[in-house]
Amino acid sequence: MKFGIFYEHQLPRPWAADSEYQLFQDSLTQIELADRLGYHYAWEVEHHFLEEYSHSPSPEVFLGAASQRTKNIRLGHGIVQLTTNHPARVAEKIATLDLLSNGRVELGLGEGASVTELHPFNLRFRDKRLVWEDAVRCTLPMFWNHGWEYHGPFYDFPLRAIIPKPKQKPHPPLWVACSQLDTIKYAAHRGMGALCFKFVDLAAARAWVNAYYHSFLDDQEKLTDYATNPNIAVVAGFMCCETDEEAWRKADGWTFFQFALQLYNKEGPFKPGSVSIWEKYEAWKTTPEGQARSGSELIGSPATIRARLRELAASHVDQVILLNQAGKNKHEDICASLELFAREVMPKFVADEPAHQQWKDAVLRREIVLDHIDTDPFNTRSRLKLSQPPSAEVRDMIAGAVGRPRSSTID
Amino acid sequence: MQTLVLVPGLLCDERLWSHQTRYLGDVAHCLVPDAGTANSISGLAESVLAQAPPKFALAGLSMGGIIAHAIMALAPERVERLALISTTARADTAEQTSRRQRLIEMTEQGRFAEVTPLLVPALLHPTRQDDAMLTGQLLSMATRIGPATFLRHVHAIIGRPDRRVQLAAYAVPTLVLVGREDAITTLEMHEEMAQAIPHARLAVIEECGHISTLERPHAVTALMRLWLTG
Repeated sequence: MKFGIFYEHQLPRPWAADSEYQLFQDSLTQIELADRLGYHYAWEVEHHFLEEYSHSPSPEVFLGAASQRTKNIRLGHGIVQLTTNHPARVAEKIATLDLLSNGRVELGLGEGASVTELHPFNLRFRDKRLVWEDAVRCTLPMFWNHGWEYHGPFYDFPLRAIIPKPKQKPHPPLWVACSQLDTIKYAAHRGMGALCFKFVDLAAARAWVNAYYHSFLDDQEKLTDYATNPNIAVVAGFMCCETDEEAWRKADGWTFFQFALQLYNKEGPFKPGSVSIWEKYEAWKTTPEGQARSGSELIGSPATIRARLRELAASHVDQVILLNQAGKNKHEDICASLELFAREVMPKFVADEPAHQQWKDAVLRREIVLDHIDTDPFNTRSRLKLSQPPSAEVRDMIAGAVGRPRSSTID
Repeated sequence: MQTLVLVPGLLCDERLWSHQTRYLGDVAHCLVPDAGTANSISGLAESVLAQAPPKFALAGLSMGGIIAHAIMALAPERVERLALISTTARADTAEQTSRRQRLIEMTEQGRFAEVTPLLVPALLHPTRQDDAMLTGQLLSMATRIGPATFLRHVHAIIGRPDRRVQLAAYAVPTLVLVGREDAITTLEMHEEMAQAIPHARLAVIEECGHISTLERPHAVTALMRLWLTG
């Protein structure tokens, strides 16, 4: 098993004058520490306009800085929004980062999360999957063809020399963002790694892993001639302390991650500065749903976390992405947690990696046939209750921005 | 609709052409003939001709291309288009024959299962040699072909003639297709064919080894579509 850390650049209110500065500097320090401690991946999201939830619209700039302060850790775009970036700019930026980092880029590909971030780029929510697929076909061959042109339904790109080329050949490993669990099968269908940003119950992990490989082997249909990347990474809430109580106290706001994204998806867009997402989160946290623990969090003592990781390892998940920078988790606590986990928990699971790789190769060669397990019982979509639908005023604001009739329904 | 006859290479079956048969169905009826049991290239060519309609477009990869050259000698009037993929018009060199003899000996010693793993480094582009699913597909096809057919085919390949003298007589639209990093049938061998065949177009696929139909299926299918409809 491999371990990653995850950066959304969450910044709950209230803010001080240098909050964003401090957030970015602390994150770089944490990634530098993680690199020294032997963590394998640092993942950075791309989101636009989602205040408090994610102040990370330019991951390639941030990862470029991280590349110069680290030696071994893989630098993951978790993800690049193919819908809001021009294909040639994606190919150029990724290749540049791959050269700067000596071939350490992992390339997650995403669609963008909500109308809040899609509409300003003249994209309809309902088109995002089709645009994403067209962008994959247009963008990826730029990594291995010197000259490339593409003529598809959404992108029309004339013949140009695409430079530079990435250090990794033919391109960095590819992943798909899975914000819903059933996207795991879609990632396999496209021959890419699954980056699961929705929390996977321990009980469900085996079902999803098996479903992934069944789709990868028997339903694979790549969009163009990229290299496949059979891999499953799952995000988990994380804080490792001497005792369970201390860990839960220090990771008190970790579910802000899921809450804020769902809020933007269902109630956004908000007028800039009109809503304190953190205050809404604190109110939600007093509800039974907000109090619930799944039992899958990697929050607790080394012994507690080890027991849960053993279950994930038995399911043959490839990577666990530790959601360390979440809510109002403090920099000092994050660093101490990374150190304790690296010392007390990580070595045993990393040592099992060669055996896991052997298992995976045998599955891919069809020497091991996995059980079919029904994933439907585990396919829980978010159940966050809407407080109220977006107001007519907010709908007009957005409709005007994308040139649609005012007060029409926004998808 | 025209028929496209797709002839597989050594140790391969119809799965070698799975992307093409799936995505060229709107422009051609795709037919992958049985490997056949002959132990000469002309015998294998006759077997393909026996399974094909009176007129057809013909594509062959590696040994399939060698069989295609034999068909162009036996029945050129039946071939309307020709695609020569990862193949050669030359005869075996002494060194190539000696390497094949070692594979024959291994197989006769009951070590057929070791043949494909031994070949993989030469078959695939370096970036794909660790692709367990792809190497698994090659193993699976080889297992289905089996040692007896393998031995007949290797003997046929060793005994093939040099076809370069006949290339100038090919009078149909011809696609000559090669992966840039093909380690078995090189770019130079394809340039030689494309220069000698009057209506040939040479296409080079980047980041691609010998098994282009599986390594870069989208690129191969797109080029074959242009060839079939051009």
